[in-house]
Parts: sequence; structure tokens; C-alpha cells
Amino acid sequence: MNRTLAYSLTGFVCLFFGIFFLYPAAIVMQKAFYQDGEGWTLNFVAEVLKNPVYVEGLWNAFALGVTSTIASLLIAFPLALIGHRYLFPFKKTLSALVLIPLVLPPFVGAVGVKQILGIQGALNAILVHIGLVDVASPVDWLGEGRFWGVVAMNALHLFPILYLNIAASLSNIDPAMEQAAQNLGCPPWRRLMRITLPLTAPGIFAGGAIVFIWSFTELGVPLVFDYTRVAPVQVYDGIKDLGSNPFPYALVAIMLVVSTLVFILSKAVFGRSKLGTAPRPKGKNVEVRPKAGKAWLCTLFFFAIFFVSSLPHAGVVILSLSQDWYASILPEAWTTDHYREALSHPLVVPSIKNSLLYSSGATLVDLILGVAIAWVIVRSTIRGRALLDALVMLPLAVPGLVLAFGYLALSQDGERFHFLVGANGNPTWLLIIAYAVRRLPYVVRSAVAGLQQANIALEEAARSLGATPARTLRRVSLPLLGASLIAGGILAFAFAMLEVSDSLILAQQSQHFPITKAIYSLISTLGNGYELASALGVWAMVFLGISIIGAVVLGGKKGGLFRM
Amino acid sequence: MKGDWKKYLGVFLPMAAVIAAPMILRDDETVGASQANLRLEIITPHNEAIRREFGDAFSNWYEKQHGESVYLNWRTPGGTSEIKRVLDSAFKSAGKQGKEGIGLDLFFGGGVYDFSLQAAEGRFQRLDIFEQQPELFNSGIIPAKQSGEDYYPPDRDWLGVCLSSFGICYNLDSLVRRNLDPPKSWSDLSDPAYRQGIALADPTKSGSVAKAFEMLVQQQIHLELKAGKSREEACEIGWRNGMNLIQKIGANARYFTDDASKVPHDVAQGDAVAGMCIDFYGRSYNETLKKADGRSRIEFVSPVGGTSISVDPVAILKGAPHEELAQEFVRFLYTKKGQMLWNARPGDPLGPRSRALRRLPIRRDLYQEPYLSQMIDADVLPYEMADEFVYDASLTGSRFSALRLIIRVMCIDAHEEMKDAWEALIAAEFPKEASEKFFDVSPVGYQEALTKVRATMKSDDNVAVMRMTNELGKHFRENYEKAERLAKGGSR
Repeated sequence: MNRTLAYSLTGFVCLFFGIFFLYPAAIVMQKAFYQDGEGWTLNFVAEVLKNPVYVEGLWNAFALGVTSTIASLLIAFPLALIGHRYLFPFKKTLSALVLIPLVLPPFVGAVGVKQILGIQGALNAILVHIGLVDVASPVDWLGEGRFWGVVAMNALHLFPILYLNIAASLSNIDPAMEQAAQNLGCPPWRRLMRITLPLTAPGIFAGGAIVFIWSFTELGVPLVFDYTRVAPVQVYDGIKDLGSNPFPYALVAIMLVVSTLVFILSKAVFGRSKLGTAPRPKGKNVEVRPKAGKAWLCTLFFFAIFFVSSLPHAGVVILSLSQDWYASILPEAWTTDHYREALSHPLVVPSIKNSLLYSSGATLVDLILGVAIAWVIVRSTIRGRALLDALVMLPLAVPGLVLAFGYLALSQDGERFHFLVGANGNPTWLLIIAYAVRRLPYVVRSAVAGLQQANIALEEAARSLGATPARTLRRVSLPLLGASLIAGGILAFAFAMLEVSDSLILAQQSQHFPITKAIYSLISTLGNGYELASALGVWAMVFLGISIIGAVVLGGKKGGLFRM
Repeated sequence: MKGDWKKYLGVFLPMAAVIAAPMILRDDETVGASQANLRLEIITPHNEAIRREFGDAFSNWYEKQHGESVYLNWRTPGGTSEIKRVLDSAFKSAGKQGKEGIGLDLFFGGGVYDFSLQAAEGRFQRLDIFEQQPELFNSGIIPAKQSGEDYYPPDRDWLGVCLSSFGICYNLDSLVRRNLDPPKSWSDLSDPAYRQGIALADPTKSGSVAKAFEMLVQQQIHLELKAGKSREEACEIGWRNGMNLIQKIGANARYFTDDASKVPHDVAQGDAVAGMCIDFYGRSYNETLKKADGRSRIEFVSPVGGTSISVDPVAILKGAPHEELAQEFVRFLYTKKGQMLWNARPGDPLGPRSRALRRLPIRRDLYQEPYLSQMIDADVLPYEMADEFVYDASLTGSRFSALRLIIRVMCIDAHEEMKDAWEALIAAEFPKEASEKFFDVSPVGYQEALTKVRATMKSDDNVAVMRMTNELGKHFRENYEKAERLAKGGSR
């Protein structure tokens, strides 16, 4: 890659990132390092590390991060591998259905989970019904589950991120490599360990890093389980404290360092395939049709994962249709009134338009920036590109609220970001940029993984035949990157649609609310707020579900990702 | 390519149907931003139902009076702690530019504590209603003070709009399962039979919740005073008893949440047996879950002699861009229509359009006929209830912020250790030495709360506050761990 181009791209990206991520984050984070009267200080960080409750919170968060990532991998890898290798009944449908956890707004999911795992929830009702639990002493799943409950919920919610990345990696492996090993007598298990696994390492790393940082900083799930001694909850509690407490910011600073270290360390270990850049597959992967029994086992495995991971959704759907769902397996009476009330609410139509505008804008910004950054990281040889790689992952490790407060302070009248606020306080540009910054890592990781696997020789050939860099990008690299970009783009769009923190803080006027804030507003309706929020949540799930499946159906052909 | 159009149709038709559904069902009666001639900017923590009803009612009222339509632009960054941040940050940057206002007209809803903080910063302006309708205030229709609580301050820059109090909501099924009688007072929640069954709101996140805990402590001091103790002795012993009561209730707690609506919801769903909640939340859930026979599984009770009746105020912000309209809005809030919206039945001439709000109007003259029978909660007479408890700021007022920090270190930060120790104490039937360790609150006594905790907090030295927090936290955690070991028969 042309060094001048690489430097200009890096310069542009760093400028954008510096202005719209580091600056607002630093504005908020300076509270962790600045003491009135004393100036810059490390006292706050030191005091946090001396407090055993905070230290335990950090350890618990770290343990949740590691365990959730391993659990997600244990679900995603076999799923992606089976999907890649075998043909089985209902494969097309099930391959799309396992992505369902992506379409659930997190706090709506929490409502569904509580409905099922609550003391008077559906699970206990089933257990009482079949005589496994005494009606007088139901199990307190949420109160007693805690750590493992959070891990299970994280894994079931986040495995699609790994699945998408691993599936993209697998589709880029040249089947000739495995066939060669097979021809040389390599048994299947050894082939998996020595060929397939190392070749998919970039995908595993790309997804794994996101899953780790996500679960390390996850707030919603621990809150559902009332698991409070974990760093993100401590940060959230501290930030919302009425007093001006600098310690949550110090805790965020420590979490940032941990996330960055884990990212750099794991990248060094897993980031690159030990087998080097694999050539672009010359042959087409041939899916095997196993014997009927085995094929149905594959179907059963996919279905089981889909079933378990969609239980929170089922909870939300049933709640949205129930009059009162309490101490019974299913509601005693059904109604569609909540849909009528929720969808007719004056907040809803504008919020749908707003969400579509904010999220597509953010996805577009991410795709452009993501490809540029990935290009520099993978294809250039300039110094500091590894640092750039780590830098763009940081938004994942900064709690949404911190960045939202930074944007809020900077977008006030007379402050530097005020130009982003339109007439009547319209936050469209502010939210597009805020969403884009926080979702950028998904696109960068996917694009980096895609580029690492795309054979550079093809680009070199194009260049040597006289193609300009832009034409090479458009005609050779982007089509090769298709599957990875679709994967990253889908994640960025879905998560932007479901974004909570920025939406709650920055969209303050009802005419600018995105859909998540409309749902959040409905929750506070007295009496049936949870049912109304569920009804609108179901609408959002159906819309996102159609969008994702639509993207896969329409774009999958080119990308070859899902082979539908 | 031939079959491709089917694919496109397969994607776009369902998507069009999904997008069309809310468009078809859309309710067009609310005045939209683009249809209105005038605009009012209001920052509020009030829920969506209140915003919608007051928005519609004021728009209609104003249009009838002046022939112009108004759009109420609600700014809702979250609860009161987020609103405080928004106001702090906006006024700070306005100050830098030498501007007086921040583009907002009104602050509507929240607690007296939140309004006092903003008033102390000089961010409100005087309300015209005091001069224009003096009869409301001179005749006691809106008292300046009730049960020791301010309903408006001497500066007259904010004014209570509706009344609220904290109480206990409980789930009847869960009580039966645990063999408990319905709770009547705060101290009933300290019964070990409630363990892991109480839902509590976090006093560090909300001034009103902290106020409820202050009432609980103050009630203990009142009890000592009634028993004939000297003021000094009563404060010392009452405060300690209050702390121990908070410890017991805290040890029974499942969580301390920042989301006030979570408490009645979890109680209604049976995840918690009982919880501390705002009156109108409790009453609404009770009503919603009523069966055909009139019974509901969730009940709400105001703790006997343990709660004062406070207000949710309104204020006009300094430099309000539409000041005259804002003063009009405030006037509307105190009309009979504006007041009855809080509690009349939906669809009634004075009532809300679609949803009952279940809050209590501040105007005292409405708690009589012909208005009383139009109220859903006609049986709740807040001004009579208010006489049962008189808040005395001189007893605990100066320790208000200290109390929040104490509850945090004593119950919230050390919650895990506390619950474990509590389980062990219950199992061992409260052995003396272990119980003494558990209930040792000497570092946060009545005097220490003022001389040590509050003094350090007032110093504005964050590191000193953190060190004190660590030190107090260490005391409670170690005591709880030791109490657990002692109760389990350990020697250390």
C-alpha cells in the first residue's frame, strides 16, 4: 500500500477518532485524574485499587468476561463448523434463526428473562406442574443464579457475534487445504486442530475480542440478576450518584487499561493465523450430506441453540399478549390491547423514522471508516498501525454513559460540538456520530478479518495491470471483503438500532427519540408499562429480524457467507 | 436473475407491513411540533402518561383561552440525577458565554431536594402565580408547609404541584407463603422472615428515597422522645436504633435499585415480598391487578407515623425563552382542571384523556365535594394523613447527605457480607456476641454522622471522602464477616 495514502488515511481516521471519541471521553475521564487544588493526580486510581469492594468488582467482571467468551465460543464454533460442512434439514431457516439474539433490545430482553426465571415465573410454574418443585417454596433463580446466570445470558446473547465472524472465516478457507490433509491420512479431529482451527483464528479473535470486552463491561445482564459487585454496575451506580464522585471514572480508566491489555495480548497470541495468509479459496466448499440420523442431529443441535437463546424473546412476546402472567406457565388470559396502545402512541412513528435515520447513517460512516482503518492495519507497513488497531477497539470498553455525558457537555450552546446540534436541538448528527463511534469496532474487526484472509496477490495483480488504488479497492478488494462487511455492517446496524445510553441522554425531546427511548418511555407507564414496552419491543424485533434476514438473503449471494 | 424479484418481494413486503402498522394505528390527537404556533421547553422526570396528559390538556386549555396552539416539548434525559447533570452542564456553558438561560423554560416534577439544590444555585425565577392568585396561598388552599415539609420556599421560586409519600407495597401471596402478617410499619420489614424478599430503592440515586430513609430514622427518634428521653439522649439512641433498623431491612433486601418503578413491579410479580415505594406506584399496581371479585394481590400501605407528605414541584428556569407562556403553564397547573387531572377518572370532564395518573393534587379545597367523589383515590386524604407525622428538620436535616453515604457503606457496598452474616445470625438465633458485632454502628453514630461524615463530605476533598468511605466500608465488612464466623461458632 502506498505509504502516503496510508499515512493520510491514518491521519484522517485518527483525527476523526481523536475528536469524536478521545476528546469527549477525556472530558469526562479527566475527573478520574484531576483534583481541584492539586492538579493532575493518580490518587483516585490508587484509592480504587485499595478498596477491596472495587477490586473484587474488577475481578468478577474479568471472570465474567473470560467465562462468557469461552461459553460463547463453545456454542458458536461447533455451530459455524457444522453449518459450514454439512447439509441438513431446515439448514437455511435455522442458520438465520440462530442470529435471533441480535434483534433483542437488551432491557426488553431482561423483562422477558425475569418473566421466565422469576419466583412466580414460567420455569417454576412448569417445575411445580411436573412435581419437581413445591409450590410453597419455589426456586429463586434470579437471586441464587448470579454469576453463572449472567454467564449463560451473556453467552446466549453474544454467541452470534462469534458465529458470524467464524462463519466468515470458514467461508474464506480454501477447502484444498483440508482435502490435502485428508488425502495424507490426517484424521478428522487432528485436521480440525491443525488446519481448520488455526485458519479460523482471525475470525475467532475478531469475535472473541468483542465478546470479551462486551461481557467485561456488560451492565444490563448483571443488573437483571441483581449481581452488583461487578465493575460495570459499580461504575453505573457511581456515575448516577447525586454527589460528584470521581471514583467511577477512575474505575473506568482501569477497565480501559484491562480491555486494551487483553486485546493486545490476545491479538499477539491468536490474532494471526499461524499458517500465514491463506490463499483465497480456489475451489468451492462442498457441503457434505451426512446420513439421515446424523443430519437430523445437526438440525437438532441448531434448533436447541435457537430454542434456548430465544427464550427471552418468547418471554417478551408472551408478555406483550398477556393480560396478567403470574405464577402460571402461560398467561391466564390473552389480549392484543397492548399492541394497539403501544403502536398508536404518538411517540412511535417519529421514533421509527429517527432510528432508521440515525442507524443507517451510523452504519454508513462505520463502513467507510472501517474499511479505511482495516486497510491501513492489514495492508500497510506503517509504524503504529497496531496501536491504531487497539485504539479503534476502545469504544467497546468505555461505558456508554461515560461517552454520552461527554457528548452532552460538548454539545451545549457555545461548546465545541454545538455545530452538530441542528435547529430546535435536533441531535441527528450528534447521534449518528455517537452511534458510529461506538459501533465502529464491529466493522473494523470484520473488515480486518476479511482482509487478512483475502489474498493480497489478487490486489497486486490488479495494480500491476494498471488499476488505480481506488479501482483495485472497488473491483477486487471490496467484493472479496463482501461477506465480512455484511457481517460487520449487520452488527453495526442492529446494535445502533438497539443503542440505549446515547439515546437516553442525547435524545431529550420526544420528536427526536429513537425507538429504544420510546420503548424505555413506555416502561414507566403505570400498571401495564412492561407489557407496552414488550409490545413495542416485539415490533422492533420483527423489524430487525426482517432487516437482518433480508440483508442475508439479498446480500448473502455475493458474500457467500450464509449460502442461502 | 429471474427469481430475484420474488426474493425482493419476500423481504420488502413484510417490511412494509411492519412499518405500516404503527402508521395506521397512529393517534393524531396530540399536537405535533410542526402543527403548533407556540412552543414550551420543559425538562421533567415525570412518566410518559403524565407528560402526554398534561401536554394535551394544556394545549387544549391554551387554545380555548388564546386561540393559539402550543407544543410542549418534553426534555427527558432520565431521572432526577440525569436532569441535575443536564442542568449543571448547560448552566455551566451558558455562564461561560455570559448567557442567562439554557433554552429551557420549566423544570417540572422531581423532589423538593432536587428543587432546593437548583434554587440554591439561583437557577429559578419568581413565579407570578403568587402575586396573581394570592388567594391560593393566603387561604391555605396551598399551605407553605405541611407535616414539616416545605410546599414552597420563602423565595417563592418553586411551588409544589402534587403530593406524594413513601410507603410499603406487599404481595399477599408471598406473605401467605412466608407465613407473615401484612406489614404496617417500617420496622415490620426487619422481620427475618422477609430475608431476600425486600425490594429497596437506592437512597444515593434519589433525594426522595433518601428522604424516606430519613423519616424512618426520625420516627425512631420521635419514639425515644415520646418515651420521655432528653432530646440529646433521644437523638443518640433513636439514631442508633434507626441505623440498626436500616441494617435489618437492608439485610433482608434483594437489592437497592435506582429504578423506582422496579420495586412495585417486582413485588407484583412475586419476586419480592414487599418493598418501599412511592404511593401512586403502589396504588396503580393495586388497581391494575384487581380481579373480578375486587381483590388484588398487591397492596399498598402508608407506614403508621413513619412518613411525611411531600410535594413534586414546578419551577421556571432563569432566562426562559418563553417566559410568559411558562407562567401561563404554571397558572394552568393550579386550575381545577389542571389539578384534577392528577386523580380524576379517564374520560371524566376534569379527568385525563386516556390514562389515570393516580397522583394527589396539592389544592386542599379539592378534597371535598363535588370534587372528592370524582377522584379515584377518594379514600386517601393526604392532609389528614400528614398530621400523623411531623418532619422536624432540626433533628436529622443536617445529617441528610451523611445518611446517604452511611447507607451506602453500611448496606449497599457491603451487601454480600451483610446478607451472609444475617443468614448465619438467623440460623444461630441471634447469639449475643455475633449480634453485637453485626449491629455495631459506633463509627456512624448521631454525633459522628455530623462531625466526621458530614464534615468530610463538606470539605469537597474527594480523596478524603474516598478514604473515609473505604475506612467505614472496611469496618462494616469486617464486622459482618466476624459476626458470620461468630454465629457459625468460629473462634476467630
